Amino acid sequence: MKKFEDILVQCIEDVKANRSSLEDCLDRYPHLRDRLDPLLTIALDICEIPDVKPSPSFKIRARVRLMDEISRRSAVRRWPWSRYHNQPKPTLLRRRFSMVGVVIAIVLTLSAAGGTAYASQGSLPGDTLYPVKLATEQVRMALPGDDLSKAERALTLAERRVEEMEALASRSSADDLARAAEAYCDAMDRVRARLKRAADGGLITANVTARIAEATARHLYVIDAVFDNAPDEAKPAVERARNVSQAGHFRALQVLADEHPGKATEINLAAMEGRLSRALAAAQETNAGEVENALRQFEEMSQFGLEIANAAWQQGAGEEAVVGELVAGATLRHLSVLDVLADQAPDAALQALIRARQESMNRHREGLLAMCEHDPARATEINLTAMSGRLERAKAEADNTESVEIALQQFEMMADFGEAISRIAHDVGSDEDLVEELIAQTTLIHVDVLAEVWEKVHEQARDAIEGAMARALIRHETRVRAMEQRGIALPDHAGVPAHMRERVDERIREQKMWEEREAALSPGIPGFAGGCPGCRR
Amino acid sequence: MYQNRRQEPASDEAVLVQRVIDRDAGAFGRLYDVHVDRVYRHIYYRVWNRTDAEDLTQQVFLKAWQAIDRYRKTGSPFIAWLLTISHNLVIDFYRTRKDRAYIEAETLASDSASSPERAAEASLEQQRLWRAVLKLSGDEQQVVIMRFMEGFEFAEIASVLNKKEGNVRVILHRALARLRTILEKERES
Repeated sequence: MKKFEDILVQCIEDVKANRSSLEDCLDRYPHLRDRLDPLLTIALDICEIPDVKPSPSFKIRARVRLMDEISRRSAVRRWPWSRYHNQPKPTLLRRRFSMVGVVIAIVLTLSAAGGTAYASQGSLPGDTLYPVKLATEQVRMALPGDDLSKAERALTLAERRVEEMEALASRSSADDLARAAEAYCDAMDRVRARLKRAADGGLITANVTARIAEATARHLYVIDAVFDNAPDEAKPAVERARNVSQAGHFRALQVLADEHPGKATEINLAAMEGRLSRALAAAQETNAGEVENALRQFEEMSQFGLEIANAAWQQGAGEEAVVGELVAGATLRHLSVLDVLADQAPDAALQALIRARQESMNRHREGLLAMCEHDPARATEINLTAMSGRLERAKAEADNTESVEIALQQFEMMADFGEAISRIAHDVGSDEDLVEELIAQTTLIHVDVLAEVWEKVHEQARDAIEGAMARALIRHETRVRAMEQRGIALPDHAGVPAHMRERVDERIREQKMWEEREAALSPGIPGFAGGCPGCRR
Repeated sequence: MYQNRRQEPASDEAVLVQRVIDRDAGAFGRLYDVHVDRVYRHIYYRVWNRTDAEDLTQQVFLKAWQAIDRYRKTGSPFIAWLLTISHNLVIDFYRTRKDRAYIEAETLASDSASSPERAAEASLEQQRLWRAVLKLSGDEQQVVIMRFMEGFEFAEIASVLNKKEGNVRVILHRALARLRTILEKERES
């Protein structure tokens, strides 16, 4: 005879799967009806409890942190710090990373917590009491104060309009939502006008400007979500609000960049991660248009980073290096998120993704170059971490030849950056030995990882790996010879596994011949470390 | 340059897990993508607070990466192993916060009213039911939440709780009976 608990479970499953109704189940077991009925009712009520999901921004934030943590632990364990135990430890690097992390966390957490922050219980456009709320705000704006404090008050009003937009997005009134969006644009206009008057009047605007830059990054994030949920008739107004928010963000950063380029860079990088977060959320909804839009904004913000870097360069006093380090570190994270996006983005967004990747690679290089005159060892360290990240990507995507080849292209470009840093370290005579040894030691690890990847990939991806191994071994050999001349012995490579040795040796011969020919044709010009075109079959 | 498309077979979790055992961070990232929603949900229904759920979810994955060698020996489904880690972290969470009751009615009410999750839509009746669920004993609560709210199969629940499948059904029956008593008492009072 069937046990009661089995009958109970069967009935629950049947009702949940719509195979039978509650009444049918009870009719099937009339002698158990009194016992079954209340328990089934409770079970089915529990099934109705709403599902919960983590927010997309949390998922990305946590993933990036997790990957950072994993790569940091691996890197520290494997890198040859022991030989340089009396060298300064990379605390500055970590501090900088964590500063960026803090800003990102603030922006994303505040954005993700929008449901709390913006779930205003106050009146909304269309409510009877809303005109009273507006009148109160007007009184507050008219209170005495200088232009700076009035700019802050106007920003508070803009924040309220964003709250209202978020609350209205789920309602069906397009008119009310459009009105809130237009009121947001008005409030931001007031912020701009008051801030300009404050600056013209000689007031120090840095703190308020930083607040505006952070707030608008947050607004942008919330308005994106409003746009997604808005009725079609309200979308043009919401789109205008989004543009106003982005323009306000850029203007604030432009002002801040002149006074505090480091702070402006942190805010800009956090906003860029916000755009990537947006792109990822849109990719999960297979909304190619919004993925492209978010990546376009990401690119614009990245380009704007160049202006900040320029302002830092004009300031001098090492500010350029500080900004460069922030950017180089952040691009590691950006490339990781773009990897995730590459796996999820709709086909129509691929071109935007390709541009965003290229943009990140360019910023990575420029960040490294900006810092390497001041601290080539640190620049090398960041670049080697980035190279390891690309190899990890190749390993993770071993079954996808195209992804492996892309990761290796990025790896080779970064190897080029490393060569450039090495030359600069030599020219400025700073940390030259440390840079050379870091490259030599880490290159050995890279060769080992490349050999691992070689084992896992399809045959057609092996050419690219063999080429990368050949060039890595040449880089290593060059370092070993150079260090020997200075009386420092470096460990030699244990060797390429026997079954791939012949193919890699052939690539090394081809690469060396190509380099000699290039050197003969263009004496004095460093070779293109990306390698001879013919060596990539 | 940089053309890229995902060509991932659906049933490759075993391959990914093996790569993670070989310390492949990329593969671990992929497993994170697959399981983060379930781990978060599992924790959220036990701490009833988004901030703590996010914090603990991150800890689960970091611990999983650190202890992956131990997973090799258990041979249980990967998600079951992640939930075991989650379960232990939730126990530690409450152990280190002795001032917190397992569920605080005010916390539940305010969190459900303001969080962006769909818990915000919960009716008063549902909140009453949640509170009753959280008055169940440890195993009973686990089984009810995992089966009805998280949609786990009986075999998976049995694996996480280290019990036989038949025992899980018995626990579920007892839990529903106890819920009935709790709800009736509440109505009377």
